Amino acid sequence: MKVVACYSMKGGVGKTATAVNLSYWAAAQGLKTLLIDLDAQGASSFYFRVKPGRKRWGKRFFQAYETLLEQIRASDYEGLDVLPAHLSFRNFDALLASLEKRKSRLRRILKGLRREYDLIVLDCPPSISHLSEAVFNAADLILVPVIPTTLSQRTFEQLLAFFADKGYADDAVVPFFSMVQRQKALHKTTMLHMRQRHKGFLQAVIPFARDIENMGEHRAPVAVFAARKPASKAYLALFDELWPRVRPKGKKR
Amino acid sequence: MSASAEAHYCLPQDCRPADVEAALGALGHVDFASLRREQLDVVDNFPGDIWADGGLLTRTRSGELCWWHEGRCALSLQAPSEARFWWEVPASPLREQLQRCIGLWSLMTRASVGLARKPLVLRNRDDKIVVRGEWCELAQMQTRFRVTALRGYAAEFARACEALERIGGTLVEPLDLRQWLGTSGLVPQGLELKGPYGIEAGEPAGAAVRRMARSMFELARRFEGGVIDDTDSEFVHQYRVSLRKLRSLLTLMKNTLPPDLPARAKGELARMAGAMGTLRDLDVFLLDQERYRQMLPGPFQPGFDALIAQVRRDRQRALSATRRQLRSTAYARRCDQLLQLLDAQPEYAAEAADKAVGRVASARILKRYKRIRAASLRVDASTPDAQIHAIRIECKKLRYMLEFFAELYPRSRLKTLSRALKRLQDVLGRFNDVSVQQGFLAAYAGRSQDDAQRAAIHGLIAVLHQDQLGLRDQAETELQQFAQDHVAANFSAMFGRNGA
Ligand SMILES: Nc1ncnc2c1ncn2[C@@H]1O[C@H](COP(=O)(O)OP(=O)(O)O)[C@@H](O)[C@H]1O
Ligand SMILES: [Mg+2]
Repeated sequence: MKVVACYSMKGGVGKTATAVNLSYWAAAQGLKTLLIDLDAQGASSFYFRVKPGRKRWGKRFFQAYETLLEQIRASDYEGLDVLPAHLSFRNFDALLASLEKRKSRLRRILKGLRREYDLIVLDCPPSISHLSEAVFNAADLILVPVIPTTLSQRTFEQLLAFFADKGYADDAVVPFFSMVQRQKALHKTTMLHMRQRHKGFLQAVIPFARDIENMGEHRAPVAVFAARKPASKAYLALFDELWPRVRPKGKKR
Repeated sequence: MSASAEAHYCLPQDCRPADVEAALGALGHVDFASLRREQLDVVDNFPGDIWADGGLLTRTRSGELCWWHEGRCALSLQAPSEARFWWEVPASPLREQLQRCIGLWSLMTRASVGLARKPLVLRNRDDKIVVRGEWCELAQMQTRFRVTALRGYAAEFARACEALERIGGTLVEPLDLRQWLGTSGLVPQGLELKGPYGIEAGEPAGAAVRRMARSMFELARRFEGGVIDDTDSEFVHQYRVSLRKLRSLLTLMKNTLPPDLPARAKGELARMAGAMGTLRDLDVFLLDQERYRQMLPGPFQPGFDALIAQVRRDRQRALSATRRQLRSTAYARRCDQLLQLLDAQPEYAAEAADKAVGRVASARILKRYKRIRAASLRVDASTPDAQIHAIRIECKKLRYMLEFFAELYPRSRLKTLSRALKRLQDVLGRFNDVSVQQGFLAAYAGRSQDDAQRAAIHGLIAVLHQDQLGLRDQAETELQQFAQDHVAANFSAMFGRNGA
């Protein structure tokens, strides 16, 4: 089982859009997939039309994976389950106050799910916090959407600096360009420049697309309502590129 | 994802999809997909061996084969629509099952079931799917509904189940297609190739033997259609086997029958089989052609191709002759005569006609075994092949006797003896086959004008001769085994005066 986090300290860069579409493709390609919506705002849950239970169960999130299992919902798509966000997830930082907990809690909880799932996708809230540290410890890959602008470039480099500072290996960090507008000269030059400075950028690029914006209206992954459109293909290409790193042992496509 | 919970309901006869829609509609928005009709063919060989073995093989119109085991489709694959023999199915576990179950027979459709399916989803206020289901109509005989729970939506599942119960649905086990087919009466009875004949140990031998003869003859006649249609090579084979067994029965039980009956019946039978012997020899060669081809090095291949072409032409001729014969009035007359002969009240009782059939059979079996044993003990390296062949024929008769009267003996003990005999017969049979094949090929070589073809044939004969030498050694060993004291003791215990 592999854990992939969609992470950025900035909001509105396409983390949720990526988490939703990536998990859809993973399931469609035969991976038993669980999308965990860690963002109390619940955008991923909204896209999949799942609502959390009424109980404020967030305070027990890190106690035992059985608690998590009770909250999981089947999505409308074969092989894809969703753990919807709850408002009480806002308090995760308090629960992860000690360094020891940040290091091991989330990782241990997710391990309990490996019998059921091939892939876990985490949709993270935009912040650099105790929760994000727990995510860095638990994830095999940290997918970082980067809008090719000067400001985003700065944010990305801050993240790398944070990793260096904490002594995390940065090879788990996998950046890719998000909301790309090819006609914008700034986007083009920034992409060129950043690819030169940082090796690990994915080849796959997610364009700025009307169809992605429209997910809110359809409440479904892009492939469901715009299967043949470039936006849908872009997410499949992203998954294809990640495949060698998320592939369960012995599994073929 | 843990295995999702399912509930299966049997719905009342008059229940329509609209009734289900209305019942579930109270819980949310119901989306019924359009009705999908499919035709499921139950396929099997002519005797119905798959079905008799407790199995089930189905084929959809699109060519998907499915092997059912314990109520589910355990093996499936897409097969070419013209695939009829196991070797025409792509290599797979399913093909191995087929090979084991249907032998050289072709597959045919033995029953057809119309299935109508209509999948459904139930959505909540957010338009999220909370329950899945499927309406299924079986051959317009039964209507079922399957409800599938989705993780995290247990309450909705429970409510859907209650709704189905309110419209008269009864909770049932998941559909076991084989079991259902069994009770539906859609699958016809299979064919028993080896009895039982419904005889009892104490009844008079004469009457019992005539009844057995009659059912063997009826069995043979059931293969005529497949011979005429040239459905597959097994029809000719089984037709001949049935008649051969019938002849053996009449000979072996001769003294329970009126003195002229066996001879007269056998005369009719010999004429009935007619050209089929030739047809069978050619079939055997063609069935084995790939093996022969592999025995020959590359340069012989063109000659071998010519030989195959020749054999195919000869087979076509033999088939035409057979068809003419089976359709002739002379054949029909012969069949009637044979039946009259078997049915006629004997003018005077034969020597053993009124003895208990069990006693007569046991005595015959034991005598035959003793004869084989004595002959086997005399076999050594200097024994001529002809003598080995004579023993083989005796063994075959013994095998027939054990098969004919099997129902009179305890099955498990009979099995032990049959197994010992079978091992011996396999070796003797192969020993005989290679010498028959050499003769068959030599006849072709004698007729052939073509040097390449003759070279190929002589090549094959040489290889077969090597095989024969090896088999001869094996035959001697197996004969010794079969003559051992403990085998003899078993035969005596079972068929002697004080036996079963
Ligand atoms: N590639 C894209 N093209 C156009 N709009 C996008 C794209 N990716 C995301 N959006 C839109 O931008 C907004 C923020 O995206 P989201 O994925 O929620 O970002 P995050 O999770 O990083 O906050 C949403 O309204 C989304 O529909
Ligand atoms: Mg988000």
